[in-house]
Amino acid sequence: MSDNTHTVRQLLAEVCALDPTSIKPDAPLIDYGLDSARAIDLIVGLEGAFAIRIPDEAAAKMKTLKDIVAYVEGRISP
Amino acid sequence: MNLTLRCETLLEALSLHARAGRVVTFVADDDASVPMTYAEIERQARRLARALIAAGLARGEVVPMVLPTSAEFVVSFFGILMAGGTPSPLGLPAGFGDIDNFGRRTATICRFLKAKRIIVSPGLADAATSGVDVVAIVDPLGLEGPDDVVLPEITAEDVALVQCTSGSTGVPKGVVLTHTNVLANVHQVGLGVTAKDDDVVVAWLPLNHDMGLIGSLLFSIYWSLELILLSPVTFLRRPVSWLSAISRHRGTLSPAPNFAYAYVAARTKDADLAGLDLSSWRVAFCGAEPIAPHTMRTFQDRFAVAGLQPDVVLPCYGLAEACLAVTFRPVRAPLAADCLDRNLLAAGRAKFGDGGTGPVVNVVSCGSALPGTEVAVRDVDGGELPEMCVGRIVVRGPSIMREYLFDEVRTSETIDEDGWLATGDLGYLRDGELYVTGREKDVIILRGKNFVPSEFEWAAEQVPGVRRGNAVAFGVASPVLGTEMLVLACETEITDSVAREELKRRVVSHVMQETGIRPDTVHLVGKERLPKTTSGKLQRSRAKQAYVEEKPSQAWRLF
Repeated sequence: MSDNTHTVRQLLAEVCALDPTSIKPDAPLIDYGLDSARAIDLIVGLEGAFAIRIPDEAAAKMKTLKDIVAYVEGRISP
Repeated sequence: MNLTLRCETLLEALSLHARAGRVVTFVADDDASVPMTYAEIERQARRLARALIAAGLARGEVVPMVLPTSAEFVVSFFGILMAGGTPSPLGLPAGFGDIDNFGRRTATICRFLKAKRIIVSPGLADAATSGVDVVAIVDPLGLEGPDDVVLPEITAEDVALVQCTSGSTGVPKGVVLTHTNVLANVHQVGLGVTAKDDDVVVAWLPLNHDMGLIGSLLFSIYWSLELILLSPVTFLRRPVSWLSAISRHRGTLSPAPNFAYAYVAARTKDADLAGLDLSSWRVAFCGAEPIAPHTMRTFQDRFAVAGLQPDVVLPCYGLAEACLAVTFRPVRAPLAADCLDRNLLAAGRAKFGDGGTGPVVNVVSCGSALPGTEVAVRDVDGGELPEMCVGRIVVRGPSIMREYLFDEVRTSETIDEDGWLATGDLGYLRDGELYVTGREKDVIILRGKNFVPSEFEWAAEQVPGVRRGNAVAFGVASPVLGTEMLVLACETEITDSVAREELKRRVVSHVMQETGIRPDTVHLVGKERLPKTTSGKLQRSRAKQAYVEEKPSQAWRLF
C-alpha cells in the first residue's frame, strides 16, 4: 500500500469514525457514512495533508477511496 | 399601497448600477478579492445575448444555468435576460460521488423546462447533459455574436426568472417571476431595512437560491449597493471566511438561514476572533427555515467579543412563490418569542402558557408584512381568523409569482381569484406580527386534535444519542383506532442493539414529558438516512411515505 493510500485512508477513517482497516479501496464512500457534512471535513483534511486544492466538482466525481488516491496522486508534485 | 419602483426591469437596474460606477467583489478561498465593474458585466452580458440570439434562442425560452458563484454566473444571468430568454439557476453537485445524482436531477429539470441549451461549468457539462437533448454552453464569457444582432425590448411584465424547487424526485415546480415581481420585492426589502447608499452586502448563499440570488445579488444591484460575494463552498469549508469578509469590507447587511448561525458559532476558533471587527454588521437576516431562539442567542454571545452589536439578527418569513420576503421584524429589535400553551395551540388557539406545569412551546415572531404586502390567517373554509388563532397563512402583494410553469391546476389551487397566495404554512398574527407554527400538510391529527410535528421533533432531539435536527414526526393512520398514530423517526449513530432499545425508551419518555403525548412508535435510522430537500430541510411527507410503504431505496434507505 502506498503512503498516499495510507494517508487518505487514515483521514477518511477519522472523519467517519471508523477503523481504517475496514475501509476497502473499491467500496462506495457512501457506505462509510461519508455524507455531505463529513465530505467537507475530508476535503479540508486532504487539502492540508497534500497541500493541494480540491474543487467540489472534482470531489463529486470521486466515488471510492481509490478515486481519491488517484486524484491526489495526479495533483501532488512528484 | 403603491410602491414607486426605481426602474421597470432588472436590465434597467443593472444599467443604472453600472453607470453609478459600482463594483462586485468575488472573494476566493484564500480571502483574495477579485473586483469586477458592473459596466464590464453589462458589456459581456450584451455580447453573450447577441451570441445566444444568433444561435437561435427563442423569446421566452428558459435557459438553465449550472454555475458556481462567479463572474460567469452574473454575466450569464443578465445575458440570457437581454436576449429575451428566461434564466433558471440550478444547484451544483455537493459531496463525494454526487455526480450521477446531480446529472439525474439536472436532466429531470431540463426536460421539465423544455430547455434547448444550458449554461454549465465545463467540468459538469457531460453529467448535466447526459440523457437529455440540450446543448451545453461552457464558455459564456467567450461567446461572441455578430454586432448587428438587435436585442429585444424587455418590459416590466416579461418573465425575469424561473425558480425551480425540489426536483430530485417527482415533478419539479417552476416558480415564474416577472421583472415587476422581483423589483417590487427587492424594493420592499430595502424599505424593510432602510437601505442606504453606503450599505455593504456580504453573501455566501448559493445563487440558485432565492436568498442568494434575489436577496443578495439582485437586491444590491437594485439599491446600487456594494456587494461582496463568497461561494457557499468557501463558507462551508471555512465558515470564518464569512466573518472575515464582513470585517474587512465593513459589511452591513448579510443574510443566512438559522443553521448557518449555529454552524459559524460552533466552528469559529477563539484564535480566529482576534482580528475580527464585526461592529459594522447591522442586519443579519434570518429566514428560510424555523428560527431557534437558542441558536440566535448563542450566535450573538459568541461574537460580541468581536464587536457584534446586540440584536442584529432580523427574523423574516418568506417563500419562493413570493420571490423571497413577506414579513420582516424591525431593524435592531430584540428577538420576540411567544411562549404558548401547547395543548391550546393544538386546538388552534394561541394562548400564552401560564409558566406552570402545562407544556409550552416557543414561537419566534417573524415581524409584520413588508410595505405593499398583506398577510392574513384563514380557517379551512377560507374565512379570515382573528389574531391569536392558528390557521393557514395567505399572502397578497406585488411580489407574488405569476404562476407555476406549465401547471395551471397547481397555480389556481395556490392563488385565488383575489390574488391571495396560499403559502402552505400555518401560523397566527399578534399585533400584526406573524408567528409561524408549522406546515399545513405536515399536521398530525391525534384523536381530533391538531399537532405541529416540530414540537415532538424538538423534544426527541433533546435526548442524548439522537442527532440534533434529525428527527421527524408524522402521523400514520390506524384503521383500528380510527385516528393517527404518532411516529418519530430519529437519526442516531448508535449501532449496538441493546443501546438502541434503551434510546427508544428514553425518546418515548422524554417526548411524553415535554409534550404530554406519547409517541406510538420510535423508529431509529442511521446518520443521513432521513430524506431532505436539496437545501437540507427535512421532508416529513417523504419520511412518512417511506415508513408506510416500507420501500427502501437508494436515495432513502430508512431500513
